[in-house]
Amino acid sequence: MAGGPLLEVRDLAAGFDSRHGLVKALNGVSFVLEPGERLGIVGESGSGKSVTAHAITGLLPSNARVTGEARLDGVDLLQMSKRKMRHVRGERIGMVFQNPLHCLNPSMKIGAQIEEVILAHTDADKREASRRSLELLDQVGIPSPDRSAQEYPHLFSGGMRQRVMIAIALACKPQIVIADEPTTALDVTIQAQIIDLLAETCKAYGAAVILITHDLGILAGFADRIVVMYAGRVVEQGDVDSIYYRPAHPYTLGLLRSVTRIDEARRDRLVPITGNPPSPVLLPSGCAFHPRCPYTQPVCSERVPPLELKGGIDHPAACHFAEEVATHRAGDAVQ
Amino acid sequence: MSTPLLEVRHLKKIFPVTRGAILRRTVGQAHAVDDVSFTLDRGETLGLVGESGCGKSTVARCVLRLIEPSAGKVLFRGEDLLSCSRSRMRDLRRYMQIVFQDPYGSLNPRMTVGQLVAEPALFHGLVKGRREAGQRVGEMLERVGLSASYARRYPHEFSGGQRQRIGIARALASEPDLLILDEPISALDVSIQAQILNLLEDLQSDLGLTYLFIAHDLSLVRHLSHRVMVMYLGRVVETADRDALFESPMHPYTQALLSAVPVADPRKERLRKRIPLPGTVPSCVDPPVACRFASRCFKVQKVCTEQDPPLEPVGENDHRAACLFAEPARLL
Repeated sequence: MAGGPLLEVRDLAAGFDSRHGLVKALNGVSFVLEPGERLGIVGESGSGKSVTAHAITGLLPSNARVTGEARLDGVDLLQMSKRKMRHVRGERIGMVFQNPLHCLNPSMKIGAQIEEVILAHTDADKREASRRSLELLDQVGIPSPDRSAQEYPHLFSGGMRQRVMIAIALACKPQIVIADEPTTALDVTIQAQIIDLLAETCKAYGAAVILITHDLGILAGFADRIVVMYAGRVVEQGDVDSIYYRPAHPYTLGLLRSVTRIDEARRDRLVPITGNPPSPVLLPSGCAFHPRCPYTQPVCSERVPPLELKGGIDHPAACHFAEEVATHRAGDAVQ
Repeated sequence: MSTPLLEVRHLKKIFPVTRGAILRRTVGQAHAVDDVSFTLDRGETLGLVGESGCGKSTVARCVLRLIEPSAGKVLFRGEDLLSCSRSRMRDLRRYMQIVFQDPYGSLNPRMTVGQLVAEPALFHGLVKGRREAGQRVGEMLERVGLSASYARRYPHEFSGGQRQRIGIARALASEPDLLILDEPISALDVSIQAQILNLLEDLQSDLGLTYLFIAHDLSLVRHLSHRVMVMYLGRVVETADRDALFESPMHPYTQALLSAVPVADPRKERLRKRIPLPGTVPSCVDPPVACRFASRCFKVQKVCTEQDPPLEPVGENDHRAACLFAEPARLL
């Protein structure tokens, strides 16, 4: 499939069997990822951003029910056998998670953990794998790779462990790296280093990145395109400038208005989004955002607005009143 | 000039570093807080920022004597807390309360919201009997934007933001003057953070509260604080009025910290330059006598590794920085 998108996710839905019945975590998520692109998925806890990543990579627990498509170079990952999926993860999709200490084996030396990935997925012999692992450690900025490769994960700081995770994710030169809140547990100066490293190394390897976060600040400098999620749906997507400067969904607009900004002398008062994010067990009818939305009308509680392109807006938004939102916000979102 | 509400002088906290389970011996000293001084006036908010391990939470706990400081003075309304008896300290805590970061871990899951909120008021004898307590609980819950009917429910029934409101209601129940806010917003979703920030502001203006606001998120600090104090490895490296600190930071560490904070503005973000901070924070066990930031500083000179820079005035309104080469920079 030459020329097509690298990854195409269509109508992805996921639910979990639980004692409350089937809990729907995702309700029809669609987006594409082009080769080498940096895509940001932003949303609050429970919005389904992590479930999306796990569904694509076949990492959801056994009580999950997944439907839809996720085509990598035209091949649907959701139809793939577990065995084949294991090869896709690691070889074609690398992953970086929030807590590297949970992902690294505490009783295995750092070098050996990287070698393991290379040996499992490529034809390289032990010596070649070891040489590659040292090279990777060097590329992710681990000081004195020879010595560090012989150490165990507990000796590393959070930032260093995350660097090791990036080395592992890149070990087999994947086409996609999915990073799920990779810096949430880190200090801000370390966060900046890790995000820059992720951008640099993925560029060097020609890998596309999906960065999942709740932080609109991080994505502003990192992403080419943004997908905004709320209650298991994509509510808006577009290139980074159009999302930040021309938001057309009230939720995105609300998020941008409610973040405190370090570069501004204080404005009078923040304009928060009222209420709380909904529980997936008890989703509001119609548009899931309607109970918190300042633009809400009777139709909002009756019909789910589709994610579509409307007149006068340069990117799709899932709101019955996207045009009004886009004109109202004139100038008062981000300057 | 009237006495400040809180005055901290040369506060130090040294934790012994021990080795061995049976034959415990001290092998070093961790200088978690090393010579920290500040004052806090009534109605003011002091933001205390720094990365993990810089000692900001230890300062807060020392102020309340939740841990015992090693040296220094903590004067609350002019009274030295460190020489107070335990019972006097208990009485004084009525006026100084703390709100913790984790709204899940800081509320006893076996107590109802009503019991949780009433406890401080009953303990300090501000209300007597069930009826008065119930009334106080209702007032407090409404004050923080919750319904009085929530009093019969348990913490697990609430979301993170609501729990944080409950934590605030509990802290307010004893009618304190000083609230120590230890990362009260960090664990919350973005859309909820703004609600809690606004609530804290309203409470301050309505009740005349004084805040010691501890956070690692500098944008929250910029929004809520009047003055800001930056800590690194147990030391205060810079302190200034809010806008002075953010607009013309003097200390290289403050500058590096500010340059690392992302801004939710793509065009601006593309133009920004980060100041690299090589390596990680060194250990506070037996730290160097010289500048503690020297090992990571982009301005470091030979003298920085020999001499300990004092926290000296570098600008208007008591803007101070502990750097021999302090110089303003625009980063935002």
